Amino acid sequence: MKKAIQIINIVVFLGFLIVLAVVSLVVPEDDFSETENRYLADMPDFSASDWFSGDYAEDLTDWIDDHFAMRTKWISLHTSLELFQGRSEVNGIYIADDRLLELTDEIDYDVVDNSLEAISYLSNLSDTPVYVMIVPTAAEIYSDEVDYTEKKVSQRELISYAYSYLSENSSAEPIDVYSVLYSSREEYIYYRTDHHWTSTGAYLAYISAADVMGYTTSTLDKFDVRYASHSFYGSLHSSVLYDGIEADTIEFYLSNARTVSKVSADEEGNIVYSSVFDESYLSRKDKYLCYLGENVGKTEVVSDATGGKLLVIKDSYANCFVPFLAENYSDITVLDLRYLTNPTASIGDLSDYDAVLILYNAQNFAEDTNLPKLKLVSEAN
Amino acid sequence: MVFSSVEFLFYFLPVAILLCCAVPMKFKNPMLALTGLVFYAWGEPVYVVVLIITSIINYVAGLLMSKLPGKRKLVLVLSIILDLAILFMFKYTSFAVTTINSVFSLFIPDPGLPLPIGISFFTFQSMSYTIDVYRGISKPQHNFVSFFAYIAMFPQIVAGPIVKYQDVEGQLNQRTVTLSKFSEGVTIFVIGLAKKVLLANNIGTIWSQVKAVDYSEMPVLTAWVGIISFTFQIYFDFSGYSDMAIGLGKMLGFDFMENFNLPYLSKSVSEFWRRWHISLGSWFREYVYFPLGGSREGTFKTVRNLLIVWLLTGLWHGASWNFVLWGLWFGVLIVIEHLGFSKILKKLPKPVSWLYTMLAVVIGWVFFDTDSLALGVQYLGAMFGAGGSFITSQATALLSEAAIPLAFCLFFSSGATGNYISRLGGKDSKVVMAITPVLTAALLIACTAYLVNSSYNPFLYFNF
Repeated sequence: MKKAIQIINIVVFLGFLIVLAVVSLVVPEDDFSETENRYLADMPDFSASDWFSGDYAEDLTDWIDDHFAMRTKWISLHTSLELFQGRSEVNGIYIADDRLLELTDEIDYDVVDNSLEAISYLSNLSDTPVYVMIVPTAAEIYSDEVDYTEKKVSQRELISYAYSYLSENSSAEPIDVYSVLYSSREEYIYYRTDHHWTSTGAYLAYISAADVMGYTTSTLDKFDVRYASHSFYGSLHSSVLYDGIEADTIEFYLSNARTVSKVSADEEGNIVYSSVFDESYLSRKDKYLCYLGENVGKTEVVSDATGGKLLVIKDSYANCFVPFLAENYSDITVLDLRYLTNPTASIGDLSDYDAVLILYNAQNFAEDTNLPKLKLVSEAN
Repeated sequence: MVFSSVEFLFYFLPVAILLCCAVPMKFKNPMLALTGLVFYAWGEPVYVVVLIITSIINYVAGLLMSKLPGKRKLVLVLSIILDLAILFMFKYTSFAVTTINSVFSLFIPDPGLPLPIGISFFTFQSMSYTIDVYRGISKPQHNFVSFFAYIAMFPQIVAGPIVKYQDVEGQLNQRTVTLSKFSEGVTIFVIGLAKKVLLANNIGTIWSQVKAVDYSEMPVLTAWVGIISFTFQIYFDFSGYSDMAIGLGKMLGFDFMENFNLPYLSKSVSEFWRRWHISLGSWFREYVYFPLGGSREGTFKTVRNLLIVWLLTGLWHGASWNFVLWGLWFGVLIVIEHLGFSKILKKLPKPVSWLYTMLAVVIGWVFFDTDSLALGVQYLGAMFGAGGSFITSQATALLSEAAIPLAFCLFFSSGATGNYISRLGGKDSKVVMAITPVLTAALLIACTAYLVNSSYNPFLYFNF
C-alpha cells in the first residue's frame, strides 16, 4: 500500500509536468490568440549577444508562457481561483456583479496639458469650428460598483479640467456627454465585456451633440436596428477569460434615410464603397471591428446627407459613432493619430472642412501622447 | 532561472531530475554540476564566471591545505580574503562608496555593478568547505567537478538553504534515491511551490499596494494590514523556496537540513532566530560566533560577539543601513534576552511573550523592506498613528480584500496542519498517505494556473 501510494505520487508529479511540457511542444503553435485577442510571442532566434545580455532567456520564457498547453483554460482557472479568494480585480480588470470594468489609471496631467495645447493650437489655426467630445468609460459611469475606493480615479474631474481649459484658452467647443450617459446608466450603453460603448450609448451622444454642432438629429425611427450578434465577448473578457458575465450584443443602426458607405481602396488602387458595418468581423473574437473595421490612420465615410465636410480625430470610441454623423455630413474624414506620424497630408486644407470633431474616451485621452502631432499641421495648408 | 516559473517547472526540472537519477553514481556529480551550470547561466549568463572563480578559489585552497600542511592557516586566510573580496566587490561597493562620499563629502563614482544572483549563498557555502577542511572535519575534495556540483547544485544555488560541506560530504560521494525519499521530495517540493505561488504571491500583492503609497497620511489600520501582509509574504516565500530546495534535494538523493520551523510561533527573539533561516543562523554560529569565543568568555565578550554576529547577519541580507539596523535590532534584543530578560519571558503568560516576539519581528520587517531609513521610520510612525487617522474607508476596503488571503496565511503559519496530520495518525497513516497524491495533483494544477498567467511573481532575494 505504502509503496503503491509513493509510486502514484511520483507518477502524478512527473506525469503532470512531462505531459504538459510535451503537449506544449508538440501541438502546432498559433501566432495569434483569438480568445485573448493578441499576438503571441515568437520563438526567439539564438545569438551570442542576446544570450549574454539575457534577452534570449527572457524571450524564450515569453514564448514558453505563451505557447503553454491549454493556456486559456489556465487563465480561466486563475480568474476563478482569484474570485474564490475574494478578489474582484484580476489582471487589471474589475469583475463587478454583471459587467467587467477596466479601472481608470492614475492620470498624468502633463500628458493631458500637452494634448490640450495641441487642440487649442488647431482650433486657432482656421475659422473651422473645432468640437471636442471626451466620453467617460464604463469604469466611471459604474464606479459605484467598484469596492476599491483607493483605486478610483475621477474621469469627471479630468473632463471638466479639459473643458474649462479649452473654453478659456481656445475657440474649441466642448461637448458634454457625461450627464446623458450617466442618467441612462440603466440602459445598454456600454458593453459588459468590452471596453467600448455600444451603439445605443453613441446614439445618445449623437443626440446631445446636435445643439453644439448645429445639426438636426435623425430620430430613432430613421434607423432599422439589427442585432448582428448576441455572442460578443470583448477585450475585457480576453484579459480574464471569465465566463460569469453575459455575452454582449452587437447592434447595427442601419439608416433607412441615407446611404452610408465607407470608402477604401482595393489592392489595385480602385476605389471601393462598402458598408460601415462590416459583417465579416462577426466571426472574429473582437466583433467591435464590425464598426469601420480595423484601426487605421485614415478612413473616409461618405453619404448622401446634405451637410458638409467633417474631420474626425479620434480613438476607437468614434468607430460606432461616425455612422450616426453620416446622417448629417456627406464627407467624413476619420483620422486615428496613433497610426499617422504626421497628419498634415491626410488632413489637407483645414479650411475646406465645415467642422472638426475630436472624440476620445477619457481613459485614452488621459494617456494618449499622439494628439501633440496636431501641432505639425500648419496654416499654409 | 527561478523555481516558480513555467520554464523551470515543466522543462528544466523533469529533464534535470531524470538525467541525474538515471546515470550511474560515477556520472551523478558531473550531471549535477552540468545541470547547475545551465540553471545558473540561464539567469546570469555573464556572472556564471563569478560562480566558477569562487569555486576554483576554494577548491584550490582545499588541495593546497593537504599538499602544504605547514601553510594551512595562510591558505585559509588567503581564501577567505579572496572570497570576501569578491563578495564585497559586487555587493558592498556601492554602499561603501555612497557612505564614504556622504561622510567625507567626496564624489567617488559608484561603479554600480549588478549583484550576481545567489552570491551570498554560494560564497558562504564555499567558505564552509574551506573552513571545514582546515579544521579537519572534512577531507579535501580532489575532484573539481564534484566540488563544483556541491557549490552549484541547482536546488539551493539561488536562495539556499546554505548547506555546510560537512553535512553533505558523505552524500556527495555516495547517495541513493529510494522510492520513499523521492516521493517525500515530491510532496515537500509541491508544498513549497504552493507556499510561494499561492500564499506568498497573493498576500504580497496587498503589501505591494500599501508599500507604494505615501506613508505620511497612512491610516493605522492600513499600515498594520500592509506590514502583516509582508510578514506572511516573506515567510511563505522564503520557506517555500527552502522547501522546494529540500524537496528537489531529496529527489536527487540529498538530505538538506530544515530551514524554517514555524518561526511565527516563537516566544522570544532568540527562539525566533532558532526557527527562522536555520541554515544561516547555524553558519554564523559555527563559523563566527564560536570562533569569537561564543558565550564562554564572560558577559562583555558574549555581548560583543552577539552584536558582531547580528551586524553581519544584517549586512548579509543586503547592503544598506536598513539591513544594518534590522540586524542590530535583533542583536540588541537578543543581548537583552541573554542578560536575563529571557527568564522573565518564560514566566510571562505565553500570549504575552508571543506578542512581544511578533512585535519585534514585525517592526524588524518594516526596516527590512522599506527603501530607506527615513521611510522606515515614517512607516513605523504610521503604524502608531502618525498618519493622523486610525481607520478610513480605503483601509476597510483593503482589509476586506486581504481578509481571505490573510486567513489562509494565518492558518498555515500556525502549525495547525501538522497537528491535524498527527491527529489523523501521522504521516504513515492510511488517510494521510491516500491524500498525498491528491494533494500533489491539486496543488500543481492551482500553481500552474498562477504561473501560466504570470502576474505578480517577484524574486525577493536579489539583495542577498
